[in-house]
Amino acid sequence: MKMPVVETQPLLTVNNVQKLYAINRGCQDVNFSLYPGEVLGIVGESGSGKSTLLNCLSGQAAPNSGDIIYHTRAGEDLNIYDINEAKRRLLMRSEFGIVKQHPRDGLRMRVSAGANIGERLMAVGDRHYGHIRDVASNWLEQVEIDAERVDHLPSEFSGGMQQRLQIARVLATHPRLVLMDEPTGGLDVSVQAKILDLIRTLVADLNLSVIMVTHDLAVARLLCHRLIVMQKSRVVESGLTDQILDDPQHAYTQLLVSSVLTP
Amino acid sequence: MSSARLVVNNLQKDFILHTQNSAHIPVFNGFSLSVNAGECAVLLGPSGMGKSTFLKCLYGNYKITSGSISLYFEEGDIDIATCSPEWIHGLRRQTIGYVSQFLRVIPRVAAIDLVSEPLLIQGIDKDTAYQQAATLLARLHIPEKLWALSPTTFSGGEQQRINIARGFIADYPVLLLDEPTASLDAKNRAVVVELIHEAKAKGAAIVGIFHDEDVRDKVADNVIDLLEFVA
Amino acid sequence: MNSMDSMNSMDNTESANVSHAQQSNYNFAYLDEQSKRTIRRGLLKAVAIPGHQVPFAGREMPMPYGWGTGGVQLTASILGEKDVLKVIDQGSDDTTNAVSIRRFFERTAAVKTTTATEEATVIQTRHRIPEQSLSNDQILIFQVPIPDPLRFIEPSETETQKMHALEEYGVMHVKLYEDIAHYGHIATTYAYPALVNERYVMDPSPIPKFDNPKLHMNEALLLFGAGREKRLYAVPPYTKVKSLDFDDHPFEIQQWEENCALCGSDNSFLDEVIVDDEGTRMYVCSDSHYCSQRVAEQEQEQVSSSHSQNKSEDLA
Repeated sequence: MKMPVVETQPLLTVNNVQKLYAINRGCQDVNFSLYPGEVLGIVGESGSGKSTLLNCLSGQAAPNSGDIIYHTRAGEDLNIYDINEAKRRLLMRSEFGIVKQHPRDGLRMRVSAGANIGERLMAVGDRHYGHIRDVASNWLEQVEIDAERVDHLPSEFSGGMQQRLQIARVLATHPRLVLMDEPTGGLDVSVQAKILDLIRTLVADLNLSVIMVTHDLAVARLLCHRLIVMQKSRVVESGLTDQILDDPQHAYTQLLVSSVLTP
Repeated sequence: MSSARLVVNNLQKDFILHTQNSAHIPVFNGFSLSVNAGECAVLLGPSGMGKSTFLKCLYGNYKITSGSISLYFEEGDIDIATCSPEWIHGLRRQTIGYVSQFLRVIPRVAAIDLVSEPLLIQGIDKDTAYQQAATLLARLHIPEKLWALSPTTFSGGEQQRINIARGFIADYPVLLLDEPTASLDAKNRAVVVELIHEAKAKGAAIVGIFHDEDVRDKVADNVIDLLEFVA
Repeated sequence: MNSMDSMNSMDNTESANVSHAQQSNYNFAYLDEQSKRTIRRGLLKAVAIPGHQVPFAGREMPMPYGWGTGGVQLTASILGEKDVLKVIDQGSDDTTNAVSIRRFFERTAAVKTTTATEEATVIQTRHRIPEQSLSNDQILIFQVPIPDPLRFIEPSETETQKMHALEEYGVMHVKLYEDIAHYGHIATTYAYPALVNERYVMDPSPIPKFDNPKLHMNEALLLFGAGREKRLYAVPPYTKVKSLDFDDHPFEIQQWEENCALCGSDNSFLDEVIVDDEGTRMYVCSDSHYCSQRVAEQEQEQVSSSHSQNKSEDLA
């Protein structure tokens, strides 16, 4: 039999990243590689350093030490805090996408759905109204929002639709790496499944790489290929999602898994 | 040994439950096994003995305490016990199929999508994948009107057949079957036996657990009693 | 010394010489020399970086914010004794705002004032650019309410500064996109954002977009002052200014089916005036000097043509 083909060029490499606000507050000794097409979940209780790590990865907070190296579309390896701010922000606009937990933090609530999706396109230089509008309508349909609603304000949408709109807005410029902070956190259980299915499908169709912070282990099981478990600023365990959840090794992970009511 | 695909050597698995006074639960120890291409090895032993645990170790789902699980490829061998998560991912995508006892899926995803998924992940085009999924679902007697529905609402037997279809659709060279016939009627059991024979004919190395003696007798080339290795 | 010289010379103390008509309790042009000097320093920086907003130490002026305190401080800073000042408000020389500011400088600086565009060396304006082309020895000073064109979408000052610094202007098109989505065309008609010297996006103050093309390669120095926000910026003479638009929805200026009811002009910016209770309306030039000048010329022509007619009748 033939050996499987496994990607050997990581999209993102995190080396000894440390960002501390106080002793054991923040994140430290974080090391991992993310490969193209992979969904990596970061789990752990509140205050364990998940969000700090995500902020470091998304260019919003420089680590105190350590390297975050991103392999660009052009094949360049960039330490995202060694490049100047202009280049870093451009990278965040063009190759990274950030999905916030609350759609209102990631959307412009006072402009239409179409303009929300179009903004990222315009930000990377698209100046053709007709094209921008077509792309926006297409994306609305991809996230299962009626394209007729392209001129509606996000505030007229339900929470689940707003989240789907945010996802469309982020994906419109074809980022390669999407960072998500509790993407289903603020939603009713009844609409979570739709978002989960959407993310799963888009990840597969667009070969996206995703890093997702979540405290919902059920979400992690369904979406993430791999998990990192954080406790008190450190990574205590990492590995395949089902291995972490079904055969946790670390005491904290066992506690986390055994505390969940639903499977 | 030249055609051995899967070699398990001196496997040990313990659980340590940190949340329960660090209880130490040994499962098995010193377990070895070799499965050739086209061969089906069947595990025996009473419930709770660790048969499913063993299959989960082979699938990378459980971490092993010591020993090795080697897969032999034309290009060389890989030890599941020590390879990185990316590699286990690659193996699950291309090499190892697993039919578990339970179906765990995102609600809302249609049965036919679930069944064609392993092919799509391998890069096979959607039409072909759907075609094959449809053939397999039909063979397993899943009524066509259910194909577009999410299996979360299916009966136990139907869910199990979805799992079977997912395991057999991609012609994996290594197959792990955890009681695939447990809640099936005779008609569907016969289909599963057929599928196993076909997989063996294509050279798959199979490790299975079958409570049904009749099925076991029809498919097994090698029967291993796990009781000998219980720790 | 006129304003062009004073822009070039940081040392402007001579202009402090009190002229006879000036009210003696005030320094020349109201502000003290140090304040004027810091503003001129800011102006030099603004000219050096066209379209870039420069903060300045704005002073309290004897008029409320919103009445042109930014423009007035700029005018005060660059005014010299020999300057001739024109003040317009929406194109008109005789509205309250224009009259007040003109009188303010008559009393505090005793400079000569005019309503004739071509005679003025310094023109302070609220919301218009004169119809008549300006020359390279003139300075046009705009009163600006909100200097940052990014403000409507981004409330944070640090963030907008960063966006300017990094040329992140994608959001500017969001507003234009919304216009087209809702009205079928770009409905922004005033304060229409423009890219200066291919670098900074600028709010040209609430001038009608009709005036935007006049910003491009204008011979005069264009200065902008925002009193409340304490920001100033400039478009130096002969600078490229491009109004933002889409490839498939290019920038267009307003057009009228009517001509000016007074002077008959078909290419000036027209105000709509309701003349009676029946709702009868007429359109007249917003630039009052331009309009009256044309009316005067036409009367002149009529007089001379009627003269020649009389002559020919005499001959016959």
